[in-house]
Amino acid sequence: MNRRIVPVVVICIFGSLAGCISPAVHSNVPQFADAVTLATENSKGAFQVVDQKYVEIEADTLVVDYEKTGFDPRRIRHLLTADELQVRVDLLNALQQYAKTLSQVSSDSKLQEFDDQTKAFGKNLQDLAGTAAFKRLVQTSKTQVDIATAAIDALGRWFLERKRQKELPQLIEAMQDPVKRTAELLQADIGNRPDDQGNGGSGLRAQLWNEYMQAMIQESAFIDHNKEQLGPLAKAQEIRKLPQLVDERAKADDALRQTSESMGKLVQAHNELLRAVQTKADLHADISALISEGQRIKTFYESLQK
Amino acid sequence: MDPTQQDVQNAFQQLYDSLTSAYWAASTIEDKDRIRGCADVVFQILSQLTVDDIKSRSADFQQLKSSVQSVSNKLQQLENEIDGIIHNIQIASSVAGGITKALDVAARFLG
Repeated sequence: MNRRIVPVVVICIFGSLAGCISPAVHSNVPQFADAVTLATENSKGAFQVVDQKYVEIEADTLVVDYEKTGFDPRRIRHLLTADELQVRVDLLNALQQYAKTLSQVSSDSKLQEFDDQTKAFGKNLQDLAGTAAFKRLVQTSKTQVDIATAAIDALGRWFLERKRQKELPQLIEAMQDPVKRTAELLQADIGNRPDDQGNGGSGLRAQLWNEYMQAMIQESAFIDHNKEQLGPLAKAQEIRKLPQLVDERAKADDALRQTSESMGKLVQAHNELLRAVQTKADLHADISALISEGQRIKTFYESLQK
Repeated sequence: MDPTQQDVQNAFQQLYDSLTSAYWAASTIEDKDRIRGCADVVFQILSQLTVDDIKSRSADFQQLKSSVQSVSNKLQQLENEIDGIIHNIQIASSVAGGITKALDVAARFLG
């Protein structure tokens, strides 16, 4: 076979084999990684908000009862120990790391980087072939160098894609159960708020619901104990805090509920990601919606932590 | 039948809700303070139930972390292999560039 034809055939064969992974995967995995980061950060935020409110209530109680009970540093406690929080933060960080690496491995940027390096290689090869000393040794035309460079690029791309196609589905599949289990555990931690009959309350939602009730009671007690000393404006300002707390409680509970739901949606998105990697199908999970929802919850948690 | 964690939680939640309702209904500061004291105690019990419930899952979180890290490490290995291929081309490019420079310098030196 003609020496010029061989690389062209190689390019054609491998060029047609390249692009093994669905384009939907390339474009959606970075989004999926963003959604994982937001969902995990919001899960951390949920624990922080509940813990912070718990500490605030102890301070509120101290303000109301200081005349009677005085200050005891032992009464200032956090709801959860650092160990209980850390074990959760560690898992959430590991999940973020997985999503970040998955995004880096499956993104198009690796192929782009490879193309750029091959182009640089071709340029250097071209320069080398142009030197007088090299010309004395080998007769090489610009076209031959271009063909050789293109063949290397096609071969390399095929090899990278083949590696990803072979290993990514297995790795994503291996994560299916841990992702599902993590979501279930976090959902159990977040729990539910009690209904109007006081049933079904559990986890962070029940805790936060009651913490806000405690905050309202302490605020009301503060007003009752100090109403003679408070001027009309200061009194009005304190009384206004009561309905604000009712409103904030509903919003905070909603943020916890949505954090829990977003973990469920993340499992669904991961399922679809696996299906897309295995079958080259499109992703139907609305990851953009998951991201915008996660961003909104994050902003709310940040506003509570100020 | 033994009560479940949820039964205990429900019972204390109902007690807490009754106390807080009584607090809002009470008309004197003395009555309110007495009820508030009781509600504070029940709130602390409910908080402890929440903590116990959350703690009961900590071992599962710890165990899952190992599974996630294991897959993450394999993924990292795959990324390193891909980077290795890109790096090889980079080295080949540098070598070709280096030879060009050396030949150029040598040609000028030898005239």
